[in-house]
Amino acid sequence: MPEPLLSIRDLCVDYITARGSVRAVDSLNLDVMPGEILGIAGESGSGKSTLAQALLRTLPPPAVISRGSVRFEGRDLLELNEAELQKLRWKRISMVFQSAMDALNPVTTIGEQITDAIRAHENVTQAVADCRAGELLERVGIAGDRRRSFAHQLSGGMRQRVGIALALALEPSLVILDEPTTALDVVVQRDILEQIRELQRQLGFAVMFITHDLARMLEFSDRVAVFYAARLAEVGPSKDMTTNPSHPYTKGLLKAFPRVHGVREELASIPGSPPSLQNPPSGCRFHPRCGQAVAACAASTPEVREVRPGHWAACPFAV
Amino acid sequence: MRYLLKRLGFYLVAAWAAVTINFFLPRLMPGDPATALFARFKGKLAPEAIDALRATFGLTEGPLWSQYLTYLSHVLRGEMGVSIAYFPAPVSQVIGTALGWTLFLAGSAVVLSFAIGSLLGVAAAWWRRGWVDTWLPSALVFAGSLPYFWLAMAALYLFGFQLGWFPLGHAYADDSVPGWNLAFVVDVLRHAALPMLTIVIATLGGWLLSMRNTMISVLGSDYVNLARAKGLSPARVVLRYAARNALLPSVTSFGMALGFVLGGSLLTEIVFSYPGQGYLLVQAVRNQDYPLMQGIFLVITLAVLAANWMVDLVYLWLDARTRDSAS
Ligand SMILES: Nc1ncnc2c1ncn2[C@@H]1O[C@H](COP(=O)(O)OP(=O)(O)OP(=O)(O)O)[C@@H](O)[C@H]1O
Ligand code: SF4
Ligand SMILES: [Mg+2]
Repeated sequence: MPEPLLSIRDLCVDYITARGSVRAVDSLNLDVMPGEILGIAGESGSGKSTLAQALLRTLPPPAVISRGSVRFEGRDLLELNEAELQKLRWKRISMVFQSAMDALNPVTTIGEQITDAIRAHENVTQAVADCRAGELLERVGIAGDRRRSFAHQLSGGMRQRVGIALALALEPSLVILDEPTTALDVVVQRDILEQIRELQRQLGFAVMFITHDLARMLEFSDRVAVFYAARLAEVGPSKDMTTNPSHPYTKGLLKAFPRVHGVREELASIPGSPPSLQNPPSGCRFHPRCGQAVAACAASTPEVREVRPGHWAACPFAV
Repeated sequence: MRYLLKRLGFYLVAAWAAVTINFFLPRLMPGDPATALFARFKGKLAPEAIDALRATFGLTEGPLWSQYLTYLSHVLRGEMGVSIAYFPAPVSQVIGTALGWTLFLAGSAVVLSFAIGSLLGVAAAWWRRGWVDTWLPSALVFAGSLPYFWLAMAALYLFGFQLGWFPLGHAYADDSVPGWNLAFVVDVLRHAALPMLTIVIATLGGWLLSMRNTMISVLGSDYVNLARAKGLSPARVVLRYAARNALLPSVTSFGMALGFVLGGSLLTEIVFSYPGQGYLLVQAVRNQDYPLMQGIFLVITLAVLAANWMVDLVYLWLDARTRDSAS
């Protein structure tokens, strides 16, 4: 068993507001292996982006990391001071933001936004960095001289590619993709995902891929973690999860999405709506919507246990 | 470029409209006040002066359109007649001198206030709920809400009269000889310091608050977050990413403020007897010096237009989005 690249233990992130605090990531345990694609799926508001930002420690207030540890390349990210963090960010972990439009500075060229990342970490001249920015853009299928463009001069798909080029600028060992394709049309989505996988094969970085599209993710990732209301519901190899989901929530989700391969199963959505994190249900948070729920489900939080080798689920009835 | 020319065209039309209104306004007044005015000055002024006055108002013989054309050509050549209060100095010369002092005093005060206020706004937003953010905005807003006249008088009384740190008025001492030498420059600065300070104090709070509030929302934006995630130094994140964007709304108000400066900071110049546009305007009104008033109004209008055009230029340079939507 190789050492995990990233090891999240008992991580809790809270938003502390005047109306009370909301735990957006609750007691999370999760590993990312070197060079793997780990998918993170969950409904809107289940805490995916919060987790991503917590790993880089760029969460803006009112969010606070209230507990846990995040081991990465032999260090605990939560113990690093500001200067150490500054060195590690982007060099070792980079990220593609959820909304490509808002993630680029509107008043400087995209080239400048790539070169300043390079020059913040490497002692190279502006000319060298600029040249590399051009190459990076070529790598994601954008003409190198577009680096003189501003964000608003590019299409949505191109902007997202710029985000990917930017994320690869320093060849980090982990790239977090926060719903990199949700705003794009299907053809562009597929192109971009193919491209990411291709680059990942060439460069060997690990990917944490966040989306709420479970079906697409099962196709794309090596392993998948499913979040429900700030907690981990199930994590396991994609193949295993596709054929044999064990958590009732995952089962429901897979029924709700039309299958990409093979026979299309009947579309059946999960009844009810996702709970608010302000006032979550007791015990297993899925119990109000779960077809298999019993009285004990509302009373105590189910433990995450290994149902099959490498496959974990947070439900006592999962097999 | 096309955009700039188009804007320039717009401002030219606006300027022309202002000039034209300036021509027709005296004519629209009931009972021909101009003639009545001349009657009052009969005997006081030489006949040539009265003729010059008539010419300024276009009250020459001949049809209206030819009067209008004469007037236009005069304005284009910067001839705005002869001042009554400062007879026999031509209006253009009187305004020219005053304009210089106003540009220097109020112009530098506005630039200073904008620069300091915006910087403090950036600091307040960055160290949010720090001491800058807690005390400075409320203190400065308080200072800004005091009646300016009162503030200026209090400053003059305390620092000028009681403590004697600064001169009591005028642009330079009566015994100093204007010229480009150190002694004169120091004298001018000493005279400008107190009026400038009062303007800065009265306006600083506004710049600070507007910059602070835009900064706070920009600091929460994704691109600032991404800049932080890139491992850039905090200084670079704040200046290059956040402040650069947060400055855009302030630039517009800055242009407006700059335009109004040339109208003269009326109250400042009155309290400190500073020989700028505002002081001049008061003199003109007091002496019923219509040619001078007309000239001042014209200069104010043109100044506001020119400042707006400059804002257009700066905006194009700061924000590529306007550059694109422009072409
Ligand atoms: N600024 C904030 N203030 C208070 N609560 C917040 C704030 N931002 C997020 N939250 C809470 O954190 C929860 C998780 O938000 P997060 O953005 O991580 O969700 P997500 O899984 O990324 O959703 P999406 O798929 O819509 O991007 C939300 O349900 C919300 O209750
Ligand atoms: S613990 Fe109970 S409610 Fe939760 S998923 Fe399992 S069966 Fe359903
Ligand atoms: Mg999100």
